[in-house]
Amino acid sequence: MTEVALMAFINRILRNGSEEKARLSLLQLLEILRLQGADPEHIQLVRDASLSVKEARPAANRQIFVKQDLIAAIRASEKRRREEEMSSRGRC
Amino acid sequence: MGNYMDNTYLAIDGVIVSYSGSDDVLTVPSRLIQMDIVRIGDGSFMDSRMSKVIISDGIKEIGKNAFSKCCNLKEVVIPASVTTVCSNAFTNDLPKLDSIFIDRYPLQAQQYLTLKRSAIRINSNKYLTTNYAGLSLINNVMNSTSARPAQFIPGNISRLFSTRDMTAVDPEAECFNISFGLSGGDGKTVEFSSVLADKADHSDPDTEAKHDELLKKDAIPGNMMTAILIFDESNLLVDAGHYYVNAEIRIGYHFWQSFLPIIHAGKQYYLYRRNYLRGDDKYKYSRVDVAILDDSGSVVKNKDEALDVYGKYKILSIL
Repeated sequence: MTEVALMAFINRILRNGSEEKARLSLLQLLEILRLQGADPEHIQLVRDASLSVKEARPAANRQIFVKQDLIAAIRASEKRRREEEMSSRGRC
Repeated sequence: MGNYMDNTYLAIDGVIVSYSGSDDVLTVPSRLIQMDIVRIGDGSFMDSRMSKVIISDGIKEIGKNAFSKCCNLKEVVIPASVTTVCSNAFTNDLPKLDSIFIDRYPLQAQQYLTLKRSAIRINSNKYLTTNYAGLSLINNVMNSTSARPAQFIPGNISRLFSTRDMTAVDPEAECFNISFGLSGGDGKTVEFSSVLADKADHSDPDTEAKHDELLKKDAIPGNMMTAILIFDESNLLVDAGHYYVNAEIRIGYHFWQSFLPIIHAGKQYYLYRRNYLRGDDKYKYSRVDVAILDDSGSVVKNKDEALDVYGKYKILSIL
């Protein structure tokens, strides 16, 4: 699958239905790509997208959605998850 | 196989990844342009609004949570080509689901349908039906047809029903608390399990001697009875939601494990069952493990041979 096609798929998945559905669909896509022996970068991108659905969906609903938008959403999601983890740790 | 995308479907390599249509009666296609569809992907139809879904012949697998949260879904048709329904495929927020039709025609040799954990859950007083010859509507398949873990309905099933409401099978057998029954391929042999029954019926001393030889001596808490009941289905009476039938009891045990002699292709086998009860150290819920033993009591390692012997005697437990 080309990167352009992959981004089109990811875009459609993110725009379609609930967060839970989008996550399941991305995980399904991930499994297929693994079985295909797809480009490891593509596999990583889909894996990261599946963890970043909350941040990626607003970006996907804009008129133009490119890889940089997805990467920005993934980074925002990583930041959020780090902050959540920090805040859940006890303080000495 | 390639990729497919239109306004309604996303599919890759024969797997539907996502559906975004709004059909009320939806036929899930087995072909999208030049792509054969073999699997309905995990979560692919989640949140959809259809009231009826017909899965086309040719599709083989329904993925996890494929139809979860389809709040309007009432009716499902599953073709004979489907061999696996994955966990929670028709579970989770399906308040209107009341009919699942499993088409088993045309039957192929060794055609099994695997239902994985909590694959299907329909509401009380609803029906799971199939068009196998002579099969009638099934009442009260409650809570789930799931098995723990994956188990099989053989393709030659002639009856699938819950015996939850069965209050009397044979007055002398004293079987009660029966959970589930499955007819064998001959349409007349039904195996029941009852829990914590007290009465044992050892009618064949030679068989019992063999069983004593094979049994472990360690005491295991909790006993179960397993009875093979032979009856003619035309004699099955239904009265006010209860089933009654006079049946010949072939074998009954009250051990925590049991051995059912089976003659298959001229050879002697044993169907070994080990019952785990709720609260068992190893398992949190009741289950039944089975194995096929040969005449010496050793496990038959050849899988095809074991399946041949076991094919008619699979048991689904609703517990």
